Amino acid sequence: MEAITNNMPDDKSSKKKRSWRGFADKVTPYLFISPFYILFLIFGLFPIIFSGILAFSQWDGIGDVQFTGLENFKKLMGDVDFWLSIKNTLIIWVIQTVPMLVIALVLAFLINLQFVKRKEFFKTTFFLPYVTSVVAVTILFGLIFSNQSGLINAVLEMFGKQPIAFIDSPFWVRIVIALVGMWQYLGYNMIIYYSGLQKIPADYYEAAIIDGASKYQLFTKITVPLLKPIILFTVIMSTIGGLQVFAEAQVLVPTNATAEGGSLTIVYYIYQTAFLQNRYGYGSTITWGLVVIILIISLINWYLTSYRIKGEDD
Amino acid sequence: MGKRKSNKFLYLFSGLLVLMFALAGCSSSNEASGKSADGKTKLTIHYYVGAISKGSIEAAKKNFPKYKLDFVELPADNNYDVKLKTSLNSKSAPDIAAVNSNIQDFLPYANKFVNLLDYGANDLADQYVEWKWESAKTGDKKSMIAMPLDIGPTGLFYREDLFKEAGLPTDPKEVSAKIVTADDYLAAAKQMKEKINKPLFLSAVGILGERYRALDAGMYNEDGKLTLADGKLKQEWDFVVEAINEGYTLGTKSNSIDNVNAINEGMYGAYIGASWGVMDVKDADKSAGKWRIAKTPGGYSNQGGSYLAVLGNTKHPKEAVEVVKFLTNEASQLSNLTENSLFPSMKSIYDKPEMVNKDDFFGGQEINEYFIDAANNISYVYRDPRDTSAFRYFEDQITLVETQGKDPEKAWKDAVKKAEGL
Repeated sequence: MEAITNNMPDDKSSKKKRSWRGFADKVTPYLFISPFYILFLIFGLFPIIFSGILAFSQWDGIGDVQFTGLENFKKLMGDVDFWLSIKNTLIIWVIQTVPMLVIALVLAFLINLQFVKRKEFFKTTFFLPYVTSVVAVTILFGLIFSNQSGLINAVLEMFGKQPIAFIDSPFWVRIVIALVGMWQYLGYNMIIYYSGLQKIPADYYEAAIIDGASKYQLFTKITVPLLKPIILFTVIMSTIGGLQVFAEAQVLVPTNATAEGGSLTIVYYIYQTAFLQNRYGYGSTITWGLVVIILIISLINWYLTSYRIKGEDD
Repeated sequence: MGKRKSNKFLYLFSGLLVLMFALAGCSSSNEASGKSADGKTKLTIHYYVGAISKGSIEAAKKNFPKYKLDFVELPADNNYDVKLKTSLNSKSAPDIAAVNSNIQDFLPYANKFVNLLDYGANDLADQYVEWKWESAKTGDKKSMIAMPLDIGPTGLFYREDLFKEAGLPTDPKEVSAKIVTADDYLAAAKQMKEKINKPLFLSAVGILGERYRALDAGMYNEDGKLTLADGKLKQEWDFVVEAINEGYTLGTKSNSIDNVNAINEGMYGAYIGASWGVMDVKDADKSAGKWRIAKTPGGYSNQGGSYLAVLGNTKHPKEAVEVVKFLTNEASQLSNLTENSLFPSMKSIYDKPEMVNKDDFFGGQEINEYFIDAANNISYVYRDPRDTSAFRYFEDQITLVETQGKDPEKAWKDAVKKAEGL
């Protein structure tokens, strides 16, 4: 055994070295995390606080910020467009999230099956839409579903049906907006489920197969319950993302988007109010309304699913 | 020993990195003081794509050898306005900036701009078309925040081939003589629908905009009261509702692939467009040679156009005003015309040979004739900063009437109620 070398002789210069090194040791971690925190302070915390102030004020971007108290919030409660835009957002969110997550789960299960060759190929191709630009994709969807020259309408006409004005109809425009999101995030959620599936021990499946379970029973009795935490994760992520849907709606309906017309989501309404009408105060108020909504729905999400998880464990 | 050495290296390196980031964040003091490295007065000019031509930029640099002119071209989108607004309160703002036709957003803050009247701008007043000149001034006419650059006088863009099929006059002079009022315009739509079953107009929103710009009053009066163009907006609304009900509108959005397609397929007959619209319509190349331009029915109107302003925080107001005056003078505007097809706001250019534009896309017609006529006859309209937002509510509602069959009276009431909330 080597003796532990005493390489700290007792004299003044090494005492200085020790204290300087001690100080540096304490400060260095802060140096390393400071870039993130500085950026967060400037671009994260400050805007949150400032928009909180703006929510109680009136401001057009150039002049002074005028404090108006609760007036904006009173206006928000009575604002038909606000409630309609919530309705639009929720509808788009449900149409987008529910089928997408179900299909993603089924797909992950299918790809995971023993007899499927070239798993990597399937995983890659389904994931590709996630890395595309949402603006480019939405422009394409807009062309495909366009009233006059769109692909879908051309196919409809081939079968002798009437063309549908997808973008003009409140019913269809919400579906198209949801479809864009579904196309983009399907692969992403599928990969998450797939990696979750890897954690399920094969023994469970083997035991069930010996007991004569069908593929469907394997799926519903083993896979889904064991994936509950991951499903909860994807549902919450899709919720927070889905409630903020904006790019798809704005690129699909760039002008004259109205809540009645089905294409105005909450964030689009905020954008219109703040940047097109120069009403930054009221825009901030709507933003905080959105924060409250996301909070409520996330809490409901978490309670429902974690309650169910607890229930399963009993 | 090796471990300790690399530890030292590691944190020297990371210390340097953080230092680097910190320094990069500091802007150079030279820019803030408005002087370039060699002591020349430095002026920064922000403009959006297409607003100023390369020729006039080069000419300006040559004309002011003692100044260092830094021209910054920015994309012509919503962000330009947001940047301009934040610049007004900042010390590191540009000295000069282009302002778009929404100048009314900035007039209430005239004190953040250099008042050009203090620098002898009035002497140049009669060189420019009066309505454009007046629109750069505040309501009390005491401040002028920008010099006029270009304008967007409108003309009737119509399809000669479709007019012929429908039995309507085809020669521009005849069209200008026969289709004079808004009612004549509606009658022409009726004839086109009856004879060849095609809509004359592109969309309800388009028509509403056209009719609105022809009015001689804005949404609000000078006291800030919502007057809906002195009450005249309602009759224009009814005009458009009738057009929708009779099927005179195609229902396609402008600025879209559908519109280009509609033009190529000859799906609608005409629209009122600005001088710069000549470039846009050329996207639909299948319609080359089929368009003509005539006088705008229902009254002259303007759509678009820009200005050049000097921002209040500039360190060299006198020099900046000189540069602005140069960039909006005859030579510069002529260069903007020939290079960027920007219609000049300076009257003397209208007689110049460069204004004659026999465009093959329009069957060889001299198209500027009607734009010049419009430029000389448009009247000044007061616009409140909320004008665009208020009008947009009416655009939204008329679209709902057209596409979803919403009841027009309810749509009108909704639009008025929303506009009142601004």
